[in-house]
Amino acid sequence: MNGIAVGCIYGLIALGFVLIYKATEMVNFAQGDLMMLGAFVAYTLISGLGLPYWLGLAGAVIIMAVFGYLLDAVLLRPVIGQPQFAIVMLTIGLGFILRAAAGFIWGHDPLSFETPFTGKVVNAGGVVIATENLAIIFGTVLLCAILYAFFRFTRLGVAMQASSQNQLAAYYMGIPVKRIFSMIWALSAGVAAVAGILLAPKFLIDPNMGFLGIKAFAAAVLGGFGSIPGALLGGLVIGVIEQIAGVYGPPGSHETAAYLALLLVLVLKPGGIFAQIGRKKV
Amino acid sequence: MSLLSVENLAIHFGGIKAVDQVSFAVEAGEVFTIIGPNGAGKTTIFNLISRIYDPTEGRLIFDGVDFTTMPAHRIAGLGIARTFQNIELFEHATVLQNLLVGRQPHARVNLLSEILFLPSVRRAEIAHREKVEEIIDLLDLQAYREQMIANLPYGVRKVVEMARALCTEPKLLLLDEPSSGLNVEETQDMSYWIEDIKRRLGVTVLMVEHDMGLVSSVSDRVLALNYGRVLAQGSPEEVQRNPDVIKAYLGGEE
Repeated sequence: MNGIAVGCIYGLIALGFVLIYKATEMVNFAQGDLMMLGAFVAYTLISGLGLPYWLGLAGAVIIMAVFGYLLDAVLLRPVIGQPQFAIVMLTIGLGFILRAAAGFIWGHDPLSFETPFTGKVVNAGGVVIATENLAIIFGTVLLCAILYAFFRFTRLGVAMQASSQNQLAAYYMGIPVKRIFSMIWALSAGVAAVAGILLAPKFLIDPNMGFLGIKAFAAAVLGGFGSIPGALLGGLVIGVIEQIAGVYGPPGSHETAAYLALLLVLVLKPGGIFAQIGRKKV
Repeated sequence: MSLLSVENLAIHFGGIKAVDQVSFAVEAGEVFTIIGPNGAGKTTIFNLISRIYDPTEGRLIFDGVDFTTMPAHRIAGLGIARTFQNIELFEHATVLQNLLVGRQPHARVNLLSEILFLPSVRRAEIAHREKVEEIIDLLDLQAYREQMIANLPYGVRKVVEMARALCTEPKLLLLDEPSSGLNVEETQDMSYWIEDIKRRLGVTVLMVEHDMGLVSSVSDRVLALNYGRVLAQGSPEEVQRNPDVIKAYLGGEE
């Protein structure tokens, strides 16, 4: 259960990677740090300002979405067209800045805030499940359903899909591609905030929790980098493997299992489990 | 007044004058073709009109509106649609989905009314579907309606791209080499489609084309370019007889 719950978080962060990558072909290495920032913003709203949990959650998601939008519009748009390397460096640097800023504002001591799920258990037919795990799993499923409906049925969602499939064509269908890209960043940052808030009762919030993003990156690659269901499933696989290795494997394998899985997949099936990048036809 | 006026259009890439002081006017209801050897600046003119490039000099006026500095995504709303030489479709979507995206410039809904699926949204959706079906019928795409673009042969994709452009209900359709990559039979079909678009939909067509057979069968007027400058302009026959044009194509004695 623990593995699945943590896997869901990896999946959500991986989803953020994939959303941005599919649309803009940028790999956002600061995705994990956006999650960290989301958790801190929620902490301020809930523990600092005393807002109720759900209001704090909604507030944090909205604030992070606006932050994501501005990040793209102000910081990243000017580097579009530069070599991939420049963009990678920029997002890695951004991660450093976010971590430093969070440490500066909230300090380096781990924090936590009260949620309706903290420390409770549910007894489901003899199996004891922590409510926080259930909340994560349920939250992930709900968020995925909302995202699916959004992409499938709304004009904005379709415009996002169109822009990520073919920018040039999207322009001449009257889609303001640049603004759509910023909105995808907003969406991605919002999803990251949800991940951070769901994770908060399990882990403590500290500026370095964003390093979780690296495992989520492994999940995204595992899933085929570019496939949304693949990212979620990749997250689950990594989460479960990690738990199993932690219980049955030698000491230390809990931390390395994710990367080992990543290496294996890259060697055996380089395209990922749900490869979307077809071989070029000759 | 002309539908599209291009006045003293110029663009320089470094020291190269890719398009140099080009002026022409496209009248409503005609098929106007730009021809010229490779590198003459034909596609560059298209990219200038569709606002991918910013001109160094000159003005672009469509239907009385100066759109020289308008962003590319607003061109469709103005009534200009285009196709691309190398086909730019949404590959992982069906033909129908591609065409429906073409209705985007006419969508007047917001997120909230969409979530509630109000009667107005429903009515608009039905109207969009009807328009799309009309274009599907016109261009004989019924058999491919639910197929993925990635699985379609090149010739069909070419028609789908044109259909998608028509779904935006343009006044002016820009076709960038409609016959490139097509076989003789498909090129023949293409000339019928262009005739149909002009006659039945009343859409003005501005195209860039290499196939002189297609050019002379559908064009009302032709403009010949070389090295970014206008060589000749007139009916297809006049332009083809023009000694400068012949020299540019065949390389006459100096």
